[in-house]
Amino acid sequence: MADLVRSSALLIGYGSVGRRHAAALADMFPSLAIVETDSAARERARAAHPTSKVGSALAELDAERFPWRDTVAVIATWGPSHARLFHELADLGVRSVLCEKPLASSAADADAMVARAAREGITLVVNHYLRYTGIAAALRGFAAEQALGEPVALVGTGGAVCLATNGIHWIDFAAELFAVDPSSVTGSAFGEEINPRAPELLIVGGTAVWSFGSGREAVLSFNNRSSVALNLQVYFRDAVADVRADDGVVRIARRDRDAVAAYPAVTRCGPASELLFDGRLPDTTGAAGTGVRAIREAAGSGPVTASGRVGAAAVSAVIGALIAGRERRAIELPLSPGSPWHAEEWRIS
Amino acid sequence: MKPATGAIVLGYGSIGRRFCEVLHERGLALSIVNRRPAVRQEAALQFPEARVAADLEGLDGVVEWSTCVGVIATWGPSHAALFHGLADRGVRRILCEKPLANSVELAFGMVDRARRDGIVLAAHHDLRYAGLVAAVRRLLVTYALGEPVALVVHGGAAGLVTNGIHWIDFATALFEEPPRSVTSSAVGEYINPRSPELLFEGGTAVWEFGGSREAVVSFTNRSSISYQAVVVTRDATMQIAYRGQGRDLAIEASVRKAQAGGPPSSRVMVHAGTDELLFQGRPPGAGSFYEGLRAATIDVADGSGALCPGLAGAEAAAACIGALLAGRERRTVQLPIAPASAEGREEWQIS
Repeated sequence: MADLVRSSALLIGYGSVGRRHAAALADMFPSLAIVETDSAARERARAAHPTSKVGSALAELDAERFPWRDTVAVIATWGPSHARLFHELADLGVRSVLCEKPLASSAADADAMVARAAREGITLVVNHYLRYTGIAAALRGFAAEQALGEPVALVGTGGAVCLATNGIHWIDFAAELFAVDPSSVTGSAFGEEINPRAPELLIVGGTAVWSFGSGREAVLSFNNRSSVALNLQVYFRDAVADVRADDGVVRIARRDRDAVAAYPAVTRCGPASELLFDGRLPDTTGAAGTGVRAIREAAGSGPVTASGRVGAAAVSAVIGALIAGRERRAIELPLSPGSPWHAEEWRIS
Repeated sequence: MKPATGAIVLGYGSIGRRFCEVLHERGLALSIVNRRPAVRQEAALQFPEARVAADLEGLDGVVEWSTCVGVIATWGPSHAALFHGLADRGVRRILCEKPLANSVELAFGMVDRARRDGIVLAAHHDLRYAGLVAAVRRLLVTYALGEPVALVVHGGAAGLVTNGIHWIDFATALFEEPPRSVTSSAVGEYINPRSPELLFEGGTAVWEFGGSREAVVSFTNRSSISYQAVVVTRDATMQIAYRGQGRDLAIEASVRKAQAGGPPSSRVMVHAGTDELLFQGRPPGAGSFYEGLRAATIDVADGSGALCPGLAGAEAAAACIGALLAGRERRTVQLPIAPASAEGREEWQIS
């Protein structure tokens, strides 16, 4: 675990995710300031953290006396405000930032955040919690140990869990699993204004198909007319893994080895009848506690698991899916500065 | 139309053999056509009373065509020509393996001719004949699960056309309309175990229906894991897969609903795991694959052809061809594809 090099914490946004960050920050740092634009949420913050300074804007903090350089800042607002807040923090001298996903609401904004962080020596971490569960790395390790080969496909199905809100975690999971970013995306993604968090934010339904080269794909199919939770499978040559993010439980089964040996052609399909593993893989966790690990990395001086670059690649992948759905064609990834859609902003969270 | 008294089975592969068994059991005078001498020899051994010929011409003057049911069980690219060959000879009951044809124009041309000449033409989409659509609907009603909103089928190298065509037809029947468009990453590879000249399509196809309903088929050519299908409703899922083998090969389903505390809710965003198991086993009314094959044969031999008419076969073939086109051109393809268009005329190496 990285040693903390910051001694002060600043949280921007005190919604459901912000509250969890506040609890962790209050435990980890002697001083915590909270910025929240909504007055009712500010009251809740004051009640929960009576010793913290709680304000409605960064400007309310004493610019001269606030220990900006010694502070880890956590951005836990809606996606469209992330880039602006990051730059405000950077202007004030903050050098450690944990940003909730999505890193930004356009590929250009995400790229600019990453570039500025690199230029100015800012530690920028994105809270892609699945990276902090360690499941993708452990699954690869287990597959190598059991000679299952490389993962070849990831398929997630569910109801209105949103291709951006939850999908961004899984597209990043796929990138970690395949050890490469997606090269293109196609699909039927479309946004609807049915987001319970904020009416102005979209819930993105439909299906997105990301290609990772060599026939590898990640497919997420989320239907806005259903409320069922996400169900996710990772395919190997002759095995399949069911992955549950909430508790980190993974169930891995393979085909009968004699059947595969008798008819080795890939087209001779069969059921995964031999259970290899059911539980938490070594060195993995469920979702609980991942935020603390992300904060520690942001406030530390060691290596970072989910860097700004990882966040920017995922933003590009998700926005690419939205563009593919709208334009009705496949989109090359990442969205580069030469792309007509690089700077287009999306109401995602 | 009187029930058929004879049968001509074109193609004596794994499926053709099964058709022969059913037709023989029904007591129909059997004729078998296959271009390969070794296969003809095998057919003659298995069915010594049958006439065996290398092509249709070999049966001219021997068979009373108008009293026969024709069963086309060859590879997809030959279906249309064989259909017209049978039709020209006066056969008026024809069951054709999927895909009905290997181009949209050829498929709808078969449907048009059947209508014009009074031919009962049916496509062998086995899920229809096994009664799965009706069985799924019964389960939806029994457990008050509401209307299906999505069908997602995923697994290893099952072939987006070879097996996917059954599921796009299933979706069409379940949603009670053909798909309106398709987007896909489909790629054909020459790994087809049936024939080296036939493609085997992997990748993912997303067919859109009205009301935000979708059918998604994702078959990776890099895995050998059997596929599973999931019917998604507002607050429940129905998982469907084939179990068993040979004559016992049959569909099983498990229906799961979100537990109390989550849905039902007025807000669709409340997500809950589908932990409450409502049903598991063979859906009532659903037959095995073999029973479906029997039902298909009898349906056409008796002159009905209502269970899976040729039009359903043409629509499914067009939906699959649309997916291949979408994958190649990396764009969404609107359906139906006009038969007379350049896209409609293009022939594909599918089976």
